[in-house]
Amino acid sequence: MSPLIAPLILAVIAGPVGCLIVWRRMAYFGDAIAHSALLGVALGLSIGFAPNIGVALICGIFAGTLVYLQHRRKLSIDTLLGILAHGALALGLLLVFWTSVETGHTPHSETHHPEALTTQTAEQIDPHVILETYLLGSLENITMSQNITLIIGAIMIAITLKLVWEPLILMTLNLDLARAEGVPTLRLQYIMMGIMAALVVLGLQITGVLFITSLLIMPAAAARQISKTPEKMIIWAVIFAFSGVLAGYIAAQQAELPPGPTIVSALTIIFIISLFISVFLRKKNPRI
Amino acid sequence: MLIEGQNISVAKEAGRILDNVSLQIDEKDFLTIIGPNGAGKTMLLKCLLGVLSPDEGTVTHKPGLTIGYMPQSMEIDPVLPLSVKRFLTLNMTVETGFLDEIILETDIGHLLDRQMHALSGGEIQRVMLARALARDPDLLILDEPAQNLDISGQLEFYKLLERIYHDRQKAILMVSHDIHLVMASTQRVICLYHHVCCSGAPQAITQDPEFISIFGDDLSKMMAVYPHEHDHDHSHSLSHSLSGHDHHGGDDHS
Repeated sequence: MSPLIAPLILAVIAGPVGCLIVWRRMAYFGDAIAHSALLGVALGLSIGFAPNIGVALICGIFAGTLVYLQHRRKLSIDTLLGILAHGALALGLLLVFWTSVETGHTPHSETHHPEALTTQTAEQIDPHVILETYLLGSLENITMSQNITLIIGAIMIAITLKLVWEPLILMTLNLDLARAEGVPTLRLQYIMMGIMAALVVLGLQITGVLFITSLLIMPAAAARQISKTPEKMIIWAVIFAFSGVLAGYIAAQQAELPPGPTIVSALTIIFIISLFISVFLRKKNPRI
Repeated sequence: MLIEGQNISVAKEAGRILDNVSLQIDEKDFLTIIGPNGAGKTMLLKCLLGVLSPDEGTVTHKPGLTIGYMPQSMEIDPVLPLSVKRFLTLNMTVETGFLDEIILETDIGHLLDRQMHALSGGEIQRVMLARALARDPDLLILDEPAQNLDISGQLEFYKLLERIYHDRQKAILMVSHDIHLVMASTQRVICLYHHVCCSGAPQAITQDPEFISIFGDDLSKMMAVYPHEHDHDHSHSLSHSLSGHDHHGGDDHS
């Protein structure tokens, strides 16, 4: 199977999810969840199960905590997010180093999780290798089972989004209006967080902790410049994410660079081009 | 009875926002809540809507009650591209003929292809009202609907509301600061300052010592200048518009 399949599937699903994150101003939430993922990786390595299970667990807990904190706060939400995100990142980094020093090797993951995305092997114990992989992404060949997990995950996210699409947009427009019209807003908030956590888990290996949020918001931000309906914005976001990932991933392969930064650099260029296009379009039709 | 709120109390850290408030909204009611800023008016609406559950007290809706709600200050974030047409039927299905009728009534036909975030304050209010009506509600709940409008925009909006009240026989519950404009169209006024200070017919309430203690003597005197007629059947009293000589639609109905 082509190594490009997984990154491209990720790009397609990043389009709609990214749009929602941009609309709902959840970029910081995405970052916080992504940063917490490293703690999950470290926990997985130190306790001895596949890092992706650890990531799913920690990201899930984090996402739930964030929704909860959003509703009762003395500190503003960006402060809380900063504390949680960097607290988890720091703890995760320490744990990665500590694990490699203490054990000298990483225990093999047990096989009772056949859907586990990654199985760390003994030669990957170097903390710098682990950190590079999970912070910046990795070009390592993606296995068949990982591809299948990604496809299933992407389909599930797409179906969930389709089901809650209209109420989600209404809620984005005005929370009180949505509530008054009977939209279960709290449940939808948990669903959104769940989707974001799932995307972090799915994309972690490809773009790394530091760049997964950019993969989500950059295509959406570029798409906003040239779209007049929510659906068109999604289509453009998918196209941009797809192009950025394709260009970035191939560039990374050619130059043997980590794929996270190359993909996000490509997306940055796309965003800048979209700004120019938008200026041009606005001159022709000021109502976009 | 459409909605009944009994002994509603809500407490926040700052103290009691709502203290033992009871009120009932009946069919074809036109009830306006007035009160100074921070009096708990929006909180009360949210409790009555069922969006917020009160710390104490109960809110009962008539079974199958449909509410059309217009929230306070609708700011549209330009990050979401959404046309007016799309917004009107977002997350609901409306029969085309009915929707066209509402679009005509609220005079938003020329706005349908515009983006929500590009609308002016008055246009947003009319679009919001249209959406509320598209639900074919038994009751309209409006939170300071004319807040961001200039004086002629306010007059127009309240006229439209009066017409809807008449033609469509909807009950209306409204929070408003525009006491002088509202007095002529509303049937009942509740003056709220954490608790119900006074309530009753618009003219009577301006004489109430509690009203005067909150809004001052000046406003009470000013209100006395406005012509009110409340000595006849309700459905008629509302057809008198603010200036007292501009009759329209509603008169022919009863």
